[in-house]
Amino acid sequence: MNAPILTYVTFLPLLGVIFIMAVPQRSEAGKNVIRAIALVASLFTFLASLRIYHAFDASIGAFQLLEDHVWIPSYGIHYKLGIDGLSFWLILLTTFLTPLTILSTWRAIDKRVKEFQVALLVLETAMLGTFVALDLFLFYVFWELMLIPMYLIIGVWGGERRIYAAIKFFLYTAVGSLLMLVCIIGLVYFHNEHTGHLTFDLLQLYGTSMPRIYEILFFAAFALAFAIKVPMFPLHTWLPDAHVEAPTAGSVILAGILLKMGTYGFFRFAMPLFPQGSAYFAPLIIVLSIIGIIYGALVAMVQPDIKKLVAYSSVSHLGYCMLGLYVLTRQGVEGSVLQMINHGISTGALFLLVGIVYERRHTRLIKEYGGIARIVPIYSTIFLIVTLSSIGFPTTNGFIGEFLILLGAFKVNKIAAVFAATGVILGAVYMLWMVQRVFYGQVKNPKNLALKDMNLREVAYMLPLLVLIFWIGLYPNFFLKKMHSSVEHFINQVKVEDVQEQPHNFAAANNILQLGEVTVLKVKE
Amino acid sequence: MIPGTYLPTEYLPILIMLLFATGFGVVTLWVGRFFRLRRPYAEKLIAYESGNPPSAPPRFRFSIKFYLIAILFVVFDVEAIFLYPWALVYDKIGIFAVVEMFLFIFLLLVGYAYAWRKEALEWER
Amino acid sequence: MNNINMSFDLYHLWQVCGGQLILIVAGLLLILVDIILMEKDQEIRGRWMGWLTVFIFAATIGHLACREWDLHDTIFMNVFSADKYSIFISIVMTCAGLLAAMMSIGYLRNNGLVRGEYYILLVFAVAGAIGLIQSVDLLMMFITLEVMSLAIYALAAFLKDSSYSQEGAFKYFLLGSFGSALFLFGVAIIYGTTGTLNITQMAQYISGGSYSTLPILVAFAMIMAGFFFKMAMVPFHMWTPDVYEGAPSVITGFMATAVKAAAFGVFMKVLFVGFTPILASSGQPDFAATVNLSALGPYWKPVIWWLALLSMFIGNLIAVSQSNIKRMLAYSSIAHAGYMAVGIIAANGEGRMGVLFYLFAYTLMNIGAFGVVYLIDGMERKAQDLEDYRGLGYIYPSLSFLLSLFLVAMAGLPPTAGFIAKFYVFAAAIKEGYFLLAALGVLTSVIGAYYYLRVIYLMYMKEKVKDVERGPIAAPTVVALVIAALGVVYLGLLPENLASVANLAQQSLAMIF
Repeated sequence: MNAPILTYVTFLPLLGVIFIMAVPQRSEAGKNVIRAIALVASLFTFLASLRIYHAFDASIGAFQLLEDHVWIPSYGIHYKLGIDGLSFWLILLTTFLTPLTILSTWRAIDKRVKEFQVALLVLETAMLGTFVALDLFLFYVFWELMLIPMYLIIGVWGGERRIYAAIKFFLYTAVGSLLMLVCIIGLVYFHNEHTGHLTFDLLQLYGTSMPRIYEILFFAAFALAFAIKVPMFPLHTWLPDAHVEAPTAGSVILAGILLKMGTYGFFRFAMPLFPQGSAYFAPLIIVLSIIGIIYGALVAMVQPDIKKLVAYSSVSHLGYCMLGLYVLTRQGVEGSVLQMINHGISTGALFLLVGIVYERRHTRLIKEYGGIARIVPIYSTIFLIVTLSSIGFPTTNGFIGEFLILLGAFKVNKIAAVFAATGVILGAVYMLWMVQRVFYGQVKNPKNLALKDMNLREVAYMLPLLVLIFWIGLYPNFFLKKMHSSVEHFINQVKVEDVQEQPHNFAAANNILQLGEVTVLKVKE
Repeated sequence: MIPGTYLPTEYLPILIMLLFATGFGVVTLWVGRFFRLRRPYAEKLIAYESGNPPSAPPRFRFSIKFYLIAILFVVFDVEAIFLYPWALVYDKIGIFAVVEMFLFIFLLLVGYAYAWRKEALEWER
Repeated sequence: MNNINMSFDLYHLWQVCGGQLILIVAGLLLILVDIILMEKDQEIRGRWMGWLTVFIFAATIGHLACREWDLHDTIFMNVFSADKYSIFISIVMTCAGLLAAMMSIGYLRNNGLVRGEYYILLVFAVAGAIGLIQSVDLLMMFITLEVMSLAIYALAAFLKDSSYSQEGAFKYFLLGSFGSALFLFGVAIIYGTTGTLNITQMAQYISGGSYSTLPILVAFAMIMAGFFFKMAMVPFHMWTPDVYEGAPSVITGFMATAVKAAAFGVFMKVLFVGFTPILASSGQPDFAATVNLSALGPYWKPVIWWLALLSMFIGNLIAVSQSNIKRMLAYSSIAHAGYMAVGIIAANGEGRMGVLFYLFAYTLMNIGAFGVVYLIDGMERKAQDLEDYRGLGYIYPSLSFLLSLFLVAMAGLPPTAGFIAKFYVFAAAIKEGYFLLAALGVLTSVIGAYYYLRVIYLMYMKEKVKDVERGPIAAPTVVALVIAALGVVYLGLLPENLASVANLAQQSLAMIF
């Protein structure tokens, strides 16, 4: 196994970009060629990522398929890639969703096709890079690289308030990630002071010992960056705007993969790097996750806009992921990882479906529809299946994920589990109510009578998603067995000896407050 | 004397003198206001004795050409002053000084050629 | 002064002052060429002068890069020194001059202002800047500073019919003279206190420890203020927006980079050689006492701490409300001065290396941005409002792409040189424990990202409201833009080569003695 397969997978989309650049887009034929190239490039990426599936050894908990090259030696920055059981699935999810997204944009994106496909492929590279990077600096580069294409996708091809949404998305993410950068550098220097070894290598930075107060501070900065991305409850306000204004493809990528960056960040960086800080903030994060679950569901319930409803449902679902991560039991964490994949599939599918009907009617308001089940039977069937998966109906993927999370949570914290479980019920309420209003009853709006059902292309990109929904729902072990050892490894890393919350240390808090002053006056002799 | 410990106390009388001189002028003029007579009338305010009444406002614009001439004067006349100290020491410095001065004159010459070609020396253009 | 030692060999002269010599001689020759070509057609004259200037700068860079890199020497009774540090910054400034000269060929033609003086002044400005960075003598610093500044004042006023240009240049002249005067006063006090103008001897005096702090501090403050004028740091930034807006676009780009590089370079030299000297690990034998080296640190560090913070905040915040792109870039340049100052305050090797890297990266991206601005402008002031950039992304895709690249680099997003540069300076500050400054600094760069990205969204996300016709594109401008763009991306992906050279350069600061 010598071929640098992760590098290939990560940068294959960029190869497509080079080809696309060469094609003029004046004519309709040119646009089709561009779309085809993008599709082929993303399909090749998917095929290449299947090689990872073969190469991946599920029995190893640590990172594998490592690639390591020196990049900026004076700062100990390496080009270091590697995957474990979590990033493995997220990579597959990314390479799997991207071709489907490109297929979905075949007609929806009609102007500036070239720029769009370029942005999408660059975004894919950035996302894959984020998942495989094992060097904090490299990770940060990929993480920031995601911002610009997504900003453009929302801002150029989005809806009416697209610019507002794009800027909000950008600024929220940038604030968090820049503070994270400061703390990355801080962490590296702490490590340097301790070991005399300047490195950004994640594997070496794990277990850096530092004063607890710094660990808490650094965790807070990391958590802020990731919590914005997740998004956790009070920081979620960019999400509905971004989702509603983004074009369908943007929403799918945003919900399907970008939100996973947040949870992935917690899993890979924030929690194992700063177990003390993580333990310190655990109660807060659990509470915020539960608030997110219930609040997201309640707000989703009253949305008049289908897409906004799905967007708020993401807040609720990602709440489960965070909860699962933080209960730190095997079931909880595995459920959380599975739920990340589930959410990518189900919510991605929902956004695609909303996009299909939006392309035809140019509205997403629930009250504009009603009774369309009779007019578009295939569409309605698929929509119902995806809805059931989203609310966690047994035999679908959503059930497995939520069940595992709740099981894990119940072992550790019964009250949290009980509150979180109400989210399942609320989820059923808002989704099914929406389905009822859109698909059943009488056809009130005469415009809907002429609604066309899904065409072959649309069925073609929905089918793989449906297959996965049942695959995970019926045979989850296929997915879970690949992550067992990685999850064990993670839990061992993060578990703090004394999980009980230590009494609040006021002296330490004072230290934080004075830190600013000390820094100002610090004079290195 | 150690540099830095030096405080110019010897110059203090001069400073005091300066303050006194300024103060004396200002104060006497100011105090005088309260004692002198002040009866202005038209004849008293016109120009005194042989002066003529002004025929135009005293401030008007000189032609820009004068400024040009002034600058050229600075360049070519004042810089030639450097020749005098050079003449005193060039035998001590030797051949280097000669070369140096020729370089200097060459620089001036380039400037001169430039000014000439750009018609800075023409009064009427 | 009994033994005036005027003997030196030409080899040393060439090795130490070669760059300045080439530029001064070439500048004089350019004057001659200009008057010889006077009768010729404007077009021919502009092309000759422009290409000659490009050639001169290229030759200067060639000389600087190929001279004996390890040779550290001083000349003219320790007035000029050649060390890796000053050579590095000289190359940065000459690159700025080269790019500016390449763009000027097209710029002057578009604006119908083909005059030879432009190039002559440009060459002398760079000559002065190199002299400034090479001098170790405070008085020579003042003279070369003025040589550079006078040329720049004239260049800023080069648009004779534009009241903006005249106003800006006049402001620049008045405030710049004020700054120089402050500097000169500081130098006088230094001379009065220490009895020397040479910064290395000054350092020895200060390291001796037997001095009264007050006059040294006053002089230090005045010298700092003088440099801060040129660096455009808050609160000495008032002239920046007017001058940058009024001056010819290419000159603005040159001013924002070369002058900044010169001012930052010489400030760091005065600071780290003169006031709080750093020493090579071997230590210098002729230092009487090396105990007192950083005694002045507690005084200047808080000052720069605050000024850096204020520069970052004020520059970025005011830039948000600008409607003219040149003004916006002017405020952004104030903010960038703040970022570079973060590297100075760290006062470690990484910080100095970061500033040097930053200067080079900033040169590339800023001149590039102004190059695009002048092309889109067509004629000066025809299309400089941000509103004019609406929808340009689809009318002039390549220009818009280049501008976006430069702006993204200035915003400090990877994978561009701007990101790496910011990373270096902030990493250096964090290493010394300036967490708060770093955190606030990166937050201001979010504000920065907001207005840089606003240009991008205007170009790509808005429909055009007004027909903007760009000027004809000259080949050398395109070459310059492509060089700058490639440089920005290359330094963003593989910064190590330049960084290691910059590191050698900053280490040589300790060896100037």
